[in-house]
Amino acid sequence: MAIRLRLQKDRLAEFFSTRRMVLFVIIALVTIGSVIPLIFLLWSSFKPVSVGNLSDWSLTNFTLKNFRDVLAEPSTFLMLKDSFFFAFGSMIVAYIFGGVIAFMVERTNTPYRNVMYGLMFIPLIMPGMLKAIGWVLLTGPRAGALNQAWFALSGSSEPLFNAFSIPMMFFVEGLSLSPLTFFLLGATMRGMDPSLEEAAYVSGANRVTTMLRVTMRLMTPALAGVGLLNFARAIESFDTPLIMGFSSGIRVFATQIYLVLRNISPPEYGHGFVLSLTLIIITVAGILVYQRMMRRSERFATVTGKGYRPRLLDLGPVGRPLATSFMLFFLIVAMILPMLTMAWSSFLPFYQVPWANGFDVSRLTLENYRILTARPDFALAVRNTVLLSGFSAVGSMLLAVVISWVIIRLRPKGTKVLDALVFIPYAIPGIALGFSMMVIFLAFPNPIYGSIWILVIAYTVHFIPVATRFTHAGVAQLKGELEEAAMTSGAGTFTMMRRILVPLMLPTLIGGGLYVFLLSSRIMSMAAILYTPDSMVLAIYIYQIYTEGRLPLVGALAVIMVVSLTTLTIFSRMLAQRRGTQVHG
Amino acid sequence: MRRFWYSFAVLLLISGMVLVACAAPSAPSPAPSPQTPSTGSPAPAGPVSDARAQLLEAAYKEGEVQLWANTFDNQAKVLKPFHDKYPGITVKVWDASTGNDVINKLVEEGKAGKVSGDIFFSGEGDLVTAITAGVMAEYPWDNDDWPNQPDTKLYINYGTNPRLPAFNTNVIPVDQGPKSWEDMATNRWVGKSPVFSFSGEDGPLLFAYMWRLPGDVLNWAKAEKYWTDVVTNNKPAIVRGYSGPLELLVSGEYGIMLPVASGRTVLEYALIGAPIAIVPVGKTPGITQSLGMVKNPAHPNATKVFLDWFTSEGGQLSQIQENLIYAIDPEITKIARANILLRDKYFIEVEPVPSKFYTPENTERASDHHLRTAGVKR
Repeated sequence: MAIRLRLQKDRLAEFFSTRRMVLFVIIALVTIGSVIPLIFLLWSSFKPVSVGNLSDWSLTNFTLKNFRDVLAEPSTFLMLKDSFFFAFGSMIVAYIFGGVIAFMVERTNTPYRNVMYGLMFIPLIMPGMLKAIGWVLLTGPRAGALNQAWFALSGSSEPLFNAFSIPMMFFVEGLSLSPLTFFLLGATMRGMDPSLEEAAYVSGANRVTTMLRVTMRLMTPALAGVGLLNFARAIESFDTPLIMGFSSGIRVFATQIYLVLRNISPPEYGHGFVLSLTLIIITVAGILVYQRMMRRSERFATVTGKGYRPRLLDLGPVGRPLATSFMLFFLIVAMILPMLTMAWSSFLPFYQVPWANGFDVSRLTLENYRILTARPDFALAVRNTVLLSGFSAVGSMLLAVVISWVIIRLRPKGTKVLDALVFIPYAIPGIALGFSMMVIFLAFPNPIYGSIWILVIAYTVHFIPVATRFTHAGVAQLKGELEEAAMTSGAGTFTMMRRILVPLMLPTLIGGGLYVFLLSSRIMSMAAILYTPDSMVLAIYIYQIYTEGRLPLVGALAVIMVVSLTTLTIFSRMLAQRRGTQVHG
Repeated sequence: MRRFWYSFAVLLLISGMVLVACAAPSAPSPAPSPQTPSTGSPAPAGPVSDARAQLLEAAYKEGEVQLWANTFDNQAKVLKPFHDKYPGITVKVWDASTGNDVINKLVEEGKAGKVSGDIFFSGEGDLVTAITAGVMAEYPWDNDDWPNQPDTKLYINYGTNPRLPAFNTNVIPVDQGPKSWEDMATNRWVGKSPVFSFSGEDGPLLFAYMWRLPGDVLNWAKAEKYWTDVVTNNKPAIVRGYSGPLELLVSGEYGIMLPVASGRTVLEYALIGAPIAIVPVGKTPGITQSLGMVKNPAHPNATKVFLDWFTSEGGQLSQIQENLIYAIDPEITKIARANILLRDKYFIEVEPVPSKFYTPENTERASDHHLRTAGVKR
C-alpha cells in the first residue's frame, strides 16, 4: 500500500514537474493569445453579426452572406488592387534603400559605413504616422514644400509629387521598412561564405560577373524571403495609408477594415472579419514562405562561425562618395526632411511654408509647446505610452525567452505546431486583433477592459513573435551545459532561468526589448479599437490632434517624442554594448 | 538577474522622466471631503441643499465623469471652470473620430453590461442615431427658455456650429472668390484645389431645411441637386473630417472647401490672421450641438453634477466662448463671440435645423445622398 502510494506520489510529482508546468502555461498562453482571436474571426465571419449581436456562439445561423457581400462589392477589387500595388511598391523601395545600404555597409569599402550601421536605428524611432504627416507637408500637390520648390525652379504648374497617391504612399512605407531590411539582409551578407566568390575570381571572373553570377545567386533565397516579409508587413500596414490614403479615398486592407468596423453606421462587422481573414491568409502565406526561404538561405548560402569576412568590394574614387551620398540621401528622406518639416510647423500658429505669401517671421512662437504640455490628455498619453511600451517590451521578451527555451531545449512533441502558433498574432491585422480582444474581454466580468492593461495584453501577444526572433537566436547560441549544470546542482527550472539563462541573454533581451518598446510606442491599429479616455496612448493622440487640424501641435509632439526616444535608444545601445554585444534590430 | 531588472528599471525611469517631464501635471487635485464648499452661489437651506449635498458627496465618491464626443476641442480651457469648482471630479474625454464610433461602442458595452461612458456629446443627428440604437437615458433638463429643443428629454440642444463656406485667399484672391451658394455649384473652382468632406453626413438635410418650401416642407430636390452639382461640376478631392482638411486649406494645399466647412474652425483661423475668407452667403444652416446622458452610466452622480454645470450660464459661457459655438441660450447670445462676429462682421444669419426634422428617416436620407455623392457608398 505504501509503495503504491509512493508510486502515485512520484507520478503526480512528475506530472506536475516545473518543466511540464512551464510547458502547459506556455501552451495555454499561446492558445489564448493566438488561437482564440483566430477562432473568433473565423467563427464570426460565418455569422450574421451586427451591432449588439457581435458574439453569436450558437451552433445555428451560419451564413455565407458576409463573403458574398464582400465579393459583390465593386470597391473590394479596387481595394485589393491598391493593397497589392502598395505592398509591392513598399517592398521594392525597402529593397532599394535597405538592401543597397546593407550591401554597401557589409560588402564594400564605403566611407562611414560603420557610422551608418549605428544610424540605421534612428529612422525606426520616428513613428510611421509622423513620417507620413511630414511627407504630406513636403509633397502636398499644391502647398508641399518640395512641390513649391519645383514650381519655382521649373516654372511648371504641375506638381512633381502627390502625397495623396499610391506611389508616394509606398515610398513612405518603404522608408519605414528599410531599416529592418537592412538588418536582415546585412546579417545574411555578413555570414556569407566567401570561398565561392574567391573561386570565381580565381577562375577569371570580374567583379560584376562575380556579383551577378555568384553573390546574387547566393543571396536569392534571403532576398526573396525578406521581400515576402516586407510585402506581408506592408499589406497590413495601417498608419501610412490612414494619413495619406484614407482621407483621399485610397483604401487598403487595414484602412478598409477600420472603415467598416469603426467609421460607418451601422458597422459592417461581418465584412471586416472576412477582410481580416483574407489578410491573415495572405500574411501567413508570406511569412511561411519567408521562413522556408530563410532556411534555404542558411543551408545553401551561408556558413557561420568561420571567423573571417567576405572580401570587401573596392568602389573606387567615384563609387565611394556616391555610395556615401546614397546613404546620406536615405537619412535625409527617411528622417531629416520629415522631421525638419514637423519641427518647423511646431513654431507656427498655423502651418505655412516659410516663403508663403504674407508669411511673417515675427509669428514664430513656442506657444504650441506650452499648449501641448498643458493639455491633461497629453500627460496621460505620455504616461500610458511609457507604461504600455515598457510592460509590453518586458512581458513579450520574458515570455519569448521561456518559449524559445521550451522550443529549442525541451523540444516537446508538436514543437513545430507551437512555433507556428507563436507566429499567428503577427499575422492577425492589429485592427482585427484589437477587435477580438475587445469582444473577449467584454464577455466576462473583469477590471481589465477599458484600462491600459488590455492594451498591454494585446501588445504583448502581438509582439511575442517579434521577440522570439531575438530569443530563438539567443538561446540557440548558448551552450546547454551551463543550464544542465545548474539543474544538476539542484536549481529548479525557474532558478536556472533567473540565474543563468536571463543574465546570459541580457544583451539580446535589451536589444529585443528596445525594438519592441519602439514598435509599441509607434503603432496605433490595436489601440484604435481598445483605447478609452483612461488608456489614451501617444499614437492615438497624434492622430487625434492631426484630425483636429492642429498640425503645429503635432509638430511639437513629434519633436518631443523623437528627442526622447533618440535619447532612450542611444542610452540602451550604450548599455547593451557595455554588456559586450552589439544590439541588432 | 538583478542587473537585468536594474537595466530595465533604469531604461523605464529615464524614458519616463524624459517624456513625463514634457507633460504638465494633469489631474486635478485629489477629491476633497464632501464638505468642501462649492465656489458657486450659496445653496438654499433645507431639503434642496440636503439633496444637493448628497449628490455632491456621491459624485465625489465616483470621482470622475466620462464624456464621449466626436469632437471636443480646447478641452482643458473649457473644463477648467468645472475642475476649479469641483476639484474632486475629473472629466475624462474620449474624443472619438466619429459619432458612429461612439454609438457602436456604447451599444457593445451596453450589451455586455459594462458601459464606461456617461455622456454623449455630438451633433444632433448623432444623438438621434444613438436614441434609435437605444443607448440614451432621459434627464430632467432645466432649460425651458432655450429654443429649438427636441420633444424628448433624452438630450438637449445647447448651440449651433454654423456651416461656413471658406477659401484660401492666396489661392483664390478675395475679389475672385465665390459670392453665393449658387456660385459654388458652378465649375469655376476646377483647378483651384477644391475639397469636399464626406464627414458631416447631414449636410443635405441642413440645406433642404434652409431652402424649405412653404409650410416647412423640406426641399430635398433642390438640396440634393445642389449637392450633386457641387461635386460633379468641380471634381473636388474627397476627404474625411473638417478640421484636418481646413488646416490644409489654410496651408494652401486646398483652395476652397465645398460647399461648407466647420464654421467655428473657420472663425478661429480668421481670428488669428490665417489667409482664409468666408463666402458672403447671407444665410447659412448650422449643425445643432447636443449632449445627453447615456443609459446606465458608470458615474450617474458625477454625470448629473457635470450636466447641471454644463447647462448653467458658467458652463455655457465656457464652451461657447472657447470653441466659438453659435449660442442659443437667450442670455448668452448677446455676448457669444460667434454670434457677434457672424452678425456684425460677416453679416451672416445662422439658421439651425429645428429638432423635429432630425428624424431617423431624414438623417438616413441625407447621409445616403451625401455618401453616394462622395462615392463612399454604393
